[in-house]
Amino acid sequence: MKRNNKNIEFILEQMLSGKPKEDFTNDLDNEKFCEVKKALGVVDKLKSLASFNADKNFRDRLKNEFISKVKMKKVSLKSGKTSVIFLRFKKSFAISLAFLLLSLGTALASTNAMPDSPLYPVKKAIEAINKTISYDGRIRALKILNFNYRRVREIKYLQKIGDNKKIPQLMKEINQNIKELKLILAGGNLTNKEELKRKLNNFLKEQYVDGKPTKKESTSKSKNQQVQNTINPLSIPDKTKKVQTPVKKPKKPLPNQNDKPKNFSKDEQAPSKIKPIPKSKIIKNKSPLIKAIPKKTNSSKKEEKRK
Amino acid sequence: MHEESEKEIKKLVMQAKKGDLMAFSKLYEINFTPIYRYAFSKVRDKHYAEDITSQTFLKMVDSIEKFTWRELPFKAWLIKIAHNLSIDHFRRTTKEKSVDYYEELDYIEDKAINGVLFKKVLESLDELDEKHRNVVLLRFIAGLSCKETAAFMRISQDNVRTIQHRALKMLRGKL
Repeated sequence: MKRNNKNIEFILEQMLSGKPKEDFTNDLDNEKFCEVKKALGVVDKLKSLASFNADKNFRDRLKNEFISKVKMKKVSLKSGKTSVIFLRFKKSFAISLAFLLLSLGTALASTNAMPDSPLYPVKKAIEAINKTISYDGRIRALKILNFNYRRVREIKYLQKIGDNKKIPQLMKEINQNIKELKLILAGGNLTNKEELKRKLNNFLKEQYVDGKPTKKESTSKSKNQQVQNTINPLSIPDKTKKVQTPVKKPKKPLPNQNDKPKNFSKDEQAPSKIKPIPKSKIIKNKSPLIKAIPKKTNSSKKEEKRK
Repeated sequence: MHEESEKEIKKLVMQAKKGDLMAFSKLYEINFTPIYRYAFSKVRDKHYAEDITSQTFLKMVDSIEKFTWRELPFKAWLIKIAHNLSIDHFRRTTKEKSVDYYEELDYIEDKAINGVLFKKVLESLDELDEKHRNVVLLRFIAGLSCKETAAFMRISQDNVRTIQHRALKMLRGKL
């Protein structure tokens, strides 16, 4: 019976879906056929119920309302497109933003990283990327020069902390950079070539590469140059040359300020510039010499006057 | 009336999601009558049916972006909105005086409909339990397919066929 019902349900469904009756009704016996027919009769009646329509005015009015709402939404969609996109990809946007901020922070933190810092490889990687993405020769040369100055600073730092293992590597890098710079300068189509050459020469002048100074130090050094050279990590003195140590001149003993002025003969010249220090100052300074001299009291002054 | 294939509907929905006015207009034309009929057969009042229909379409504009084909076909999704709105309506109006829906017969344009038959069909539908009545309304008033009805009611297609057969059997004795 259950199987029978299933069959009728299936046939009814097929007939409702609009397939030709002959395909299904041929195999049916009279009883089943009658049942299907009655079911279809009910369906027809139900469908007659479904043949009513809505008020035309209402239909048109609603359509206008619907279209205006769609238009309004379209406008709002256009104006708030970014916010909608943001909401749609909220999660991925947040993740990518966090990643971006993290990488930016690391990159910023690594700019002043020294070779012993864990961020130093990041710094090197950023430098490498920076170098590769600069296609303009002048900019590239300037960047390389800047990197060289950084290396020098790092070497100074390493010397300061007493870690000499990494210094040769940095030196090698500097030399490579200089070679690259020279190659860039040798190539044509460079704007401000002279300026670049001057900058490179300045670097070579200030920093000693390969243990040899590229030029003799000029006598008129600026203060900065003097400071750099005094603490220059790359400056390794040439052993073949004798180091000229400046001979110390014996200092002339300063005239005792409390000494009475001497009577100079004609041959001797009196020190013209040395002025006698006023007594008030001497008392204020309270030097040990002053302490040794007993203070003159009023009575002693009177005695002196009598004498 | 509108026998658009599922492919065409999918295309229209995709365009509507992008804000295409024409696609919205077409979707309205296709789905207006089934939704109105379903709403009317549920609430048995012209004004409430109009209210539910308009609310359904306005909700559709608001939430078409959220619509996915995974759960329900588009038509079934719209009918679901109308169904939920009609439930809300019943919640609000349970204590109100029931509307005499036979007054609405004046608005039925189809001349083929006999007023007596209309009344009889609605009365016999009222005698069915909710599950059977829903299947009949969805299948023969809203015009959903067996697959769409199954998706709407969250039951299997075989189950829909069985319920439908039983409902027709019950109605046969009353009509």
